Amino acid sequence: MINYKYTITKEFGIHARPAFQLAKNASDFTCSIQIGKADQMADAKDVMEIMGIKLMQGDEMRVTFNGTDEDKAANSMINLIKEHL
Amino acid sequence: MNMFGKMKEKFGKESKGITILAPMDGNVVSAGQINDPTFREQFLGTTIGIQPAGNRVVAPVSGTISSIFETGHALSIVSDDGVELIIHIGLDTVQLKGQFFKIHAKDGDTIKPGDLLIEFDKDEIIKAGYDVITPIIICNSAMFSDIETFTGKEVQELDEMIKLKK
Repeated sequence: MINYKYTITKEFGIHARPAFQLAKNASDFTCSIQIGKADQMADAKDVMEIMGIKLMQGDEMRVTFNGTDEDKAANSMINLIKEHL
Repeated sequence: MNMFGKMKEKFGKESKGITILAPMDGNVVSAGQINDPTFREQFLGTTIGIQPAGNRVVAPVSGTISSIFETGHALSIVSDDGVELIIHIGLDTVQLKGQFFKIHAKDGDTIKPGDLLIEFDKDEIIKAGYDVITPIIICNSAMFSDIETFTGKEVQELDEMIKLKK
C-alpha cells in the first residue's frame, strides 16, 4: 500500500480534463487506486467518481495505491499529478 | 466516415433499448470532429459532439445529477437505466470561471427529460475566443452491447440522439 499526498497548485483544480487524464492513466494498472481528500475517496479509474470529488486549488489530495503493480502505478500517477495539478 | 449516416459502433443481442435524448438544440457531430484529443480519442467512452444552436442544456434522461461544476461548463449525470454521461459545454471553457454560464441544478438533484440544467451565452463564449462544441461522453459505454449514435443531423431538445442496449 502506497500513500501519496499532494497540494493542488493549478488554478482550476480537478476539472473534466485532468479527471479524464487521471482516469485514463489509472486504468493502465491492475492495482486499486483511490483518489480524494480527507474521508472522501473515489476510484481513480472512474472519471465520474473523480469529478464528483471536486478537488480545488489549495486542497490537499490523497492518493492510495494497493496491489501488485502499485510501485509502477504510483510512479506514473505521481508524475501526471505533478504535471497537471 | 459518412457523417450523414447513423453509426453503429457495436453489435449485440436484442434487448431492452435505452434512449438518450438531445440536451440542446444543435447539430450532432461525431467525435472525430471535436477539435480536442481528450474528447476526439474517446478513451473514456463513446463520445459525440453537439454544435449548439441555442443557449441552454436540459436533462437528456431521467436520472440524477452526479456532479455539476460551479463554473457551469460541465456536468455528469447517471440515468435511471445506469448510463453515466458527461456533458461538457465548449472546449477549455473552465477558464471562463463561470462567466456566461448559469446553473439551474445541484449535485444529487433528481431530473427528468427536459428539466433546465444550465443556461449559457453562446455568442459571448464564442466572442471570448472559445469553441462552443459540446462533447457528450458515455463514461460506461463498455457496459453496453450496442450503441447507436445519430450524428450528422440537426436536433432539437429531446430528439433521440443515442440508443443503447445492455
